[in-house]
Amino acid sequence: MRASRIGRRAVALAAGVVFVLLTSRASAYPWMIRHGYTGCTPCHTDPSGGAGALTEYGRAQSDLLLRMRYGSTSEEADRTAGLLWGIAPLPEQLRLGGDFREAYFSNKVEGVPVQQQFLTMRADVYGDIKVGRFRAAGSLGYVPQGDLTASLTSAPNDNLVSREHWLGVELDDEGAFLVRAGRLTVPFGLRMIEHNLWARTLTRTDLDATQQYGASLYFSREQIRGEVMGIVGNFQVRPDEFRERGYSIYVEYAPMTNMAVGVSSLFTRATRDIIYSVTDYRYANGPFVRYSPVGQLVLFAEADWVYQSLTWNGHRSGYAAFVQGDYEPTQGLHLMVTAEAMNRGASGEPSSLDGWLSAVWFFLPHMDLRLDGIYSSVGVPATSASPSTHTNATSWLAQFHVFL
Amino acid sequence: MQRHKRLWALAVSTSLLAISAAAYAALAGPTDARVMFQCSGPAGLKIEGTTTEIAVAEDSGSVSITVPLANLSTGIALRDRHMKEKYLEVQTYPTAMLIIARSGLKLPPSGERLEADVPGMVKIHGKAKTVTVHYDAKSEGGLYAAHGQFHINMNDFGISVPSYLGVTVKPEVDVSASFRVTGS
Repeated sequence: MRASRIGRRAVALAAGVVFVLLTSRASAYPWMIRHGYTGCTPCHTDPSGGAGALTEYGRAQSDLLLRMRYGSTSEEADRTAGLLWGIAPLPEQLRLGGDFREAYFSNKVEGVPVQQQFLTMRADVYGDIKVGRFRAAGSLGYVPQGDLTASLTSAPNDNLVSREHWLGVELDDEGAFLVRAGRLTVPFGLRMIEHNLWARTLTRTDLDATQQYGASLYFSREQIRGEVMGIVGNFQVRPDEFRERGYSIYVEYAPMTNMAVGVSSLFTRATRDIIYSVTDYRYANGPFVRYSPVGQLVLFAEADWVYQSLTWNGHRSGYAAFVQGDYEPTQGLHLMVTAEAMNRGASGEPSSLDGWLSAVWFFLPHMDLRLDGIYSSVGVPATSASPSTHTNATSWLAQFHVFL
Repeated sequence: MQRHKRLWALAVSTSLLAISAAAYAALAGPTDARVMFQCSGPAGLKIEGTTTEIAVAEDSGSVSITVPLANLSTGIALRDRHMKEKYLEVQTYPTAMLIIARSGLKLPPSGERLEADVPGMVKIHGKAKTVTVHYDAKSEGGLYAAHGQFHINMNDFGISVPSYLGVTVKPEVDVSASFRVTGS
């Protein structure tokens, strides 16, 4: 059962890596569609959402719609919605913020001792300045472990990271068209706070450290919005042969204020893939949907087909998909159920499945607590010594999050 | 500083109604009513407000459709408050009204459906303006299912364009309504 031990260790390692990498933004909440917000503007300085600072309007909405109100919901936004709880007023053109997330993580893989640890998941500050139609944005953070592909420094641990930095020009007065260049979050699929969903990791399109350098055009017209990006590589990775080049795009259509459907497509080529160390042609395509049948409930789903052509190592045709339901029984308290499936497409690899039960409580201005319980059954490919199998793991994650 | 004006939505809409169809004759109590307005903000922002309150009456050759605005809702409490207090001024102007000449309304034969345009007078926020109402109506044995829509500009009604923390709503508003009435 050597192969089995190897499989378990692989799963333990993968799970550990997933949670060491687990970070999140204050603001990637696509369930805001329950309030009729199908797009990410006007709350986010990044028109595709998830990354970067909030606008003044977005800060007000975080107070009015996000946190528990403990009373009247028709009062004006509290002044504590501002930067640093309102003690540091800023000019309209300058939007600053920060994210700090600490967690306690427990992971039990069958046949392996329990792994428990405290994690600093995010310690970033970021800003966006707008002068006329010109925009500049960037982030700077500290990461004790991981996120090496976003690092500005090159130590094994304790690095400075910059996840985004870009310059842009709005092409119209209302910001419906934005051209920008720099390090950007790859425009693909749903921008979820759960960046370690398999749909995000398999397509390498999370909010954490998979940003790429390139140029993009964001567009929004009536019921359609989207972003297309030409990718020229991650220049925080060396040498150049590891850099992926290609394109990524998503387009979303909102026929109603409580529903949006979209599709994404991505293609990249790297002379040496950062995981497989061979030339890799990587394709990902798939649909996604958000729907709020009633105000308290929002449903999301995404399914992506991922194909990789690995030179001298054959082809991999896999997929990742998830469904999530977000129920908000009272403002500020979210109960979520998530189901995922994934297959990386390795020879003889069985599909992996998992389920999440989560609760998030936005208990005070700028603060929330989150608890996740995750059960995973991860497919382990067959080897010459053993058939394919599944290894099961149960994880718990408790988080405290504050944003400035 | 806070230019607190809320995006809300203009409610206006309200007015609603449109529905000409309604027109129907000695119209008796609308049921299954839904009145909705839609307006938009920058970069694809959409705001939708609804109410189920509506009254239809016929008098002196005209059909009037009246929508009380007090319970018009966009789904966000503060936005509703701004809409009613700052923009629609519901305390002063509690209703929106659409008046259509009864003679201009066409009714479908039993079991059939028709679609047509009819001129109407919209009254909102103390001001009146002529609009063209596009409506369709279906006869369902003694009952008429009607749906109508029209377009207004809040500037025409002296309604301030809503703006909140840098987000300004466009003044154009689409209004629609649907309901069932019985007619003689």
